[in-house]
Amino acid sequence: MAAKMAMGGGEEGEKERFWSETRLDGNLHLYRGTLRDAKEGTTGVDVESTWRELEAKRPKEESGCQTEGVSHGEQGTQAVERREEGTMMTEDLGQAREGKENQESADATVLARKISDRLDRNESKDEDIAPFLERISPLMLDELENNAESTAFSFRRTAVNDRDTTVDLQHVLEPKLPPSRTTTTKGGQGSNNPHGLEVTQLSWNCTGYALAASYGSFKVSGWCDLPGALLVWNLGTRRSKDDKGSKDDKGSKGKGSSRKSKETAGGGERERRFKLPETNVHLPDVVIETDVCLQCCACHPNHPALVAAGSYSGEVYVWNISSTDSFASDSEIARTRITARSHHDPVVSVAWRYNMLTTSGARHKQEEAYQLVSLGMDGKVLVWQWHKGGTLDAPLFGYELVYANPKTHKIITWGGTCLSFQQQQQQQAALTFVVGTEGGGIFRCLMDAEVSNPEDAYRSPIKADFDQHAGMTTSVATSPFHRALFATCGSDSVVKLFSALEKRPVLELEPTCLGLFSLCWSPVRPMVFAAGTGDGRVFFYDLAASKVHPIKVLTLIGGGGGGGGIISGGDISGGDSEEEGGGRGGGGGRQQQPVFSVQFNPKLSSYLATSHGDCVRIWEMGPQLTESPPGEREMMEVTLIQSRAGK
Amino acid sequence: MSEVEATLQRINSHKGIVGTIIVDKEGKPIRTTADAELTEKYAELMPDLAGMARSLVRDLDPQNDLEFLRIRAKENEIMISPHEDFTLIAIQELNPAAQTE
Repeated sequence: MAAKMAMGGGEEGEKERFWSETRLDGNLHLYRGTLRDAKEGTTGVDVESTWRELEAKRPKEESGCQTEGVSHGEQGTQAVERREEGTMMTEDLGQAREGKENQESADATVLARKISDRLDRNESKDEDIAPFLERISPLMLDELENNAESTAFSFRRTAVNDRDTTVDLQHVLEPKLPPSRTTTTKGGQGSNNPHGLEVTQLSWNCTGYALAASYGSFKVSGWCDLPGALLVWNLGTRRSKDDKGSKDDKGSKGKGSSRKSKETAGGGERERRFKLPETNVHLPDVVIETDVCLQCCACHPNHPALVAAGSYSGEVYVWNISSTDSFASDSEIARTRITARSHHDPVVSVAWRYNMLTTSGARHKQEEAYQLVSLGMDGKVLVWQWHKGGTLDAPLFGYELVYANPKTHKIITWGGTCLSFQQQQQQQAALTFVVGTEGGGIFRCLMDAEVSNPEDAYRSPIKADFDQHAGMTTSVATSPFHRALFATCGSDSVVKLFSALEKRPVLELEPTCLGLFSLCWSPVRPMVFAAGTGDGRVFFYDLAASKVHPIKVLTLIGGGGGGGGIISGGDISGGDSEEEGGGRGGGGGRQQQPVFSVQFNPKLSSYLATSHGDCVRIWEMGPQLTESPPGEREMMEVTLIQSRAGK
Repeated sequence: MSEVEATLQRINSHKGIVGTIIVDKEGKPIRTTADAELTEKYAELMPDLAGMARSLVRDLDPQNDLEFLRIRAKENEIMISPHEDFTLIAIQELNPAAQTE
């Protein structure tokens, strides 16, 4: 370590020496030490460090740093409560009301006398008032006149959101579909719906007490080997108190006596048991089996027992359900035949039309005046003349949806998906209807009842086209209150409101990012409609309250399941979104299924039917959705005009 | 029937009118077609509001003056036309049935 050591001078006796050493780092280190004698027994060298001295000699300075002190203070504030002496008119009245009756009447008479006295005393002022009145009255009268006709505040009144928007679950309708043809297994939860069919359309009958549902499938592609069924639930008799026994007999005939005995035992309390588990789950009263899937159904507008349905294979059926006893199949009273001129693709929509005039211009008899209109995916609109005892052998006349593609201008046949007749036009010979198509096109068509030569090709009924949906147009609904208004929805999840006279939509709504499958206008509120989505939700729109946001969202969970069909989570809190859980353990894979049909009950207007998978639910709606505020029709006109102006 | 009464009747015969009241500047009702209780209430409360509205209009623009005041309530509509000496108040009920037709 030490490269060199040098010894400084010193005296012999003291033996104190200075040592210096140059280290490898180039510094010279100086030591002072004592070299002890060998005699003393030690040979070490004591070296004292000089570091401390050096350190002590180094100049030092002291300094400090201190932040400024934070000052605290306290202040208080207190709102002054002011009270003014003096009584208000209303308090006086309130006290008077609290007091005895005679006191009150005495007060009133005193008041009346006071005023009449005052009026008498002022009688002489008549000539003073006259000029004032003369000046004022024209203005006042004008204002009163304007006021009576004003719509300025119409929106305010309904926008006040103090009304009840609740939608309560009333019934869960369970399917009871025919057993599987291939497998013979019975029992277990899946036995009610062995083929996995779904509700394709719902239809209330004309009395509003029965609900028909067609069962089929929208998943079939190519050849359909699934059966279909038409189910009818009779709700009216269940609802009425005086006629319970007889109905249940009919409803449970042939379905096992256990259910029957249960129903009759608890019959007296049915009214109260609506919301309890099991009792609001109903099996159908009528089951009609068909060979192929049913894609649509429609109840007769006047006859409560007639139901028409269209099948996947292109046939149209008419049944009389009153003659059906549960599973009987002889209720079919008419059925179309597949010919060259009939549908060759699934019938997607059927509708009954009342048409007073025959094709030759003569008047029909009342019962013969109904026609059946069917729309097929092959783009044909066929009209069938049906009356009691008649047949549906050949269409009376028909049309084909031939129209130019707005983009390519190529003339093509459009495959129909939905159809809706304009309302309030029963007396006319030519009927206007709106169709939605697979390609998204929306067309206004006219049915002019001109019989063409049976050998001729079908003509096109299309008179006008509208802005298309980006995907398939899934549902179209004409407003029951406005001749020109109709709404469409599509798989592009847009609801479009059209005026029949304009190509562009009046209003567009997009409630969800999933596709929409069903649409229905309220039969009582001109500005309310409901739309069903692909994930089991139903949106209620009240255009009077909001043109953007739905006023209510229903979430349907589960397909209802078989067996118990327990309704859990039925606690309706009145929140914006209500969830209804049903069918625990009843098919986990059926959680979010499309709502293919939403139908307001046209007669009993507080009820609504929704489909979800194979399960049908009946809801009771609150006053917001069922009671029309004054002047709503005028409001609708104004809304349409405003929306149009906003474009 | 005096001319004044005739005019009042004319206003009163309008659709939905519950009452017409003339109040003098001291806040006393001098002519009325409404019942006593209603008259008293309106006569007491309305001129104050009309006075406030008038001063508001004048504060905004001293050249301006209040002509007419219309209050839309949930149940009815109150129309006030204030002048120096008198105030005319008309109460119009919003009859839902009448509006629907």
